[in-house]
This record gives sequence, structure tokens and C-alpha cells, in this order.
Amino acid sequence: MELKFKSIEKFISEQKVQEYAEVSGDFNPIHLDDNYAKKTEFKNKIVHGMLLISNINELMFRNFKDSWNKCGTLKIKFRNPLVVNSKLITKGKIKKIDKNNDGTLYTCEVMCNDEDDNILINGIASVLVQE
Amino acid sequence: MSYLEEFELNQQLLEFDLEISDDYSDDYSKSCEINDYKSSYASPTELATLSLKYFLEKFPIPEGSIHTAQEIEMKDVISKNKKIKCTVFLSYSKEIRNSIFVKIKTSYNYNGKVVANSEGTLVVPKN
Repeated sequence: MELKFKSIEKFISEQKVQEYAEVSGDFNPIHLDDNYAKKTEFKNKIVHGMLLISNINELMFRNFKDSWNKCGTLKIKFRNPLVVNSKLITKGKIKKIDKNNDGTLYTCEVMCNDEDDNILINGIASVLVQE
Repeated sequence: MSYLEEFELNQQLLEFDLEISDDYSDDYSKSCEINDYKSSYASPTELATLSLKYFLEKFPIPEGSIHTAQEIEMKDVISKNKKIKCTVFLSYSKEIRNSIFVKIKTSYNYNGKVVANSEGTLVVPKN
């Protein structure tokens, strides 16, 4: 059984990356400085990994509300960078449902892809929904 | 000296109080373009992001570093506008070729109880 969540699509602009730098304190020039980024292997500024993860957080909150904030678990690996000023697609599906005395544990496969469907980050999000 | 080289495994790197205020939560949601996000509880990623901010103030990550993995586990609710104590440890460090693989673990405590844990993995270029 696989239940897919409605995906989230966004355009990650320079302005969003700058705003995220301010809330996270991560001003690494790879995210913000064109001249610096050109000299790196990526050749372009890239989006903060934790900003990508925030979209998985949003996906899980949309589907599980406060159960996600109360007892959500996230294990994510970073696979590829997203260049600034690019489209991001966040997807997820329920892979497993286990009922026990504490409630129902949902185990979900989650990922963020670029517009060419390359996986940027992926992993497992699980959440216990108490009855 | 390489990044965090002066620390032993499982040694505490930092301890600080953290509070997810309504204002911070609004700024976070705006920066991440999260709509329809209203909760009186801190979310896993805003918690990890704010604690990252405190960590970076003390231990800036060297240029060229790569964030390769992140884990966050919520064990109980964390109400907004409440102070929680964060303790940061070096949980793994290994030199492989010209890089150092580092894991940094954060434990979040409220009233003496662990309410969340997070662990980030970084690959840091060796000096």
C-alpha cells in the first residue's frame, strides 16, 4: 500500500535564500556570493540544505498537523544541490502504517527533486498519531 | 588546526538556552515560504535551524564544507515562547583522505527531560 501526498512546488529565489541565511545565521558564500560560487565545483550559488528540508517539514505538517510537531522523526540524506533561482518539488508517500497501544505510526518516504526530477534530498519521516 | 580537532568524541561543545518565539517562527515560515502553518508548538526544522544559528556563532563552518545528512527526532511537544536548554556534542569525527567527517549532535531539554534530539553530518575540508 502506498498513499501519496499532494506535492509542493516552489521557486527558490535569491531573496528566499537571503532570508533563510538571516534566520539560520548561515551566511556561507556558497549560498550568497556569485563570484565565490563560480569558483566552486557547483559553478552557481546553491540553496541551503536545511531550507530544502523545511519543505519536507511543511509536507508532513500539512498531512499530520501537530502530531508532526509533537513526535515527528526525520532522517534525511543530501544527494545533490539545488541551484538558487530554481524550481523545487517536494513529494512524499506513506510506506507503512503500524497500529499499537500508543497510536498509529506512519512511516513515509519523502524527497525533494529539481525540475529535471533529480533527487536533491531524500529519506524517511515517521510520525506517531495518538488516538 | 582542523575543524573541532581540539575536541574529544562525546565532548560537550556548547550549551545554550533557546526559545522559539512567535516572531522567530513567523520569520522562519516567511523565509521558507510556508503557508498555512499555525501551531503553538515548535516544528522539528525550525528548532534545528535556530539551534544551528547559535552553533554557527560559536563554531563557524569552514568554507567548502558540505552538509551531507540531518536527523531530527521530536520526543515531546516543545511549546513556543518557552526556554529549552540545548547541549551540543561532537558525536563522530573521522579523517578520510583530505576531508574530516564530523557528526554534531544536539539534545534539547525542558524541565530536565529530553524533548528532542538532532544530528547533522558535515564533510569539512582538511586544512
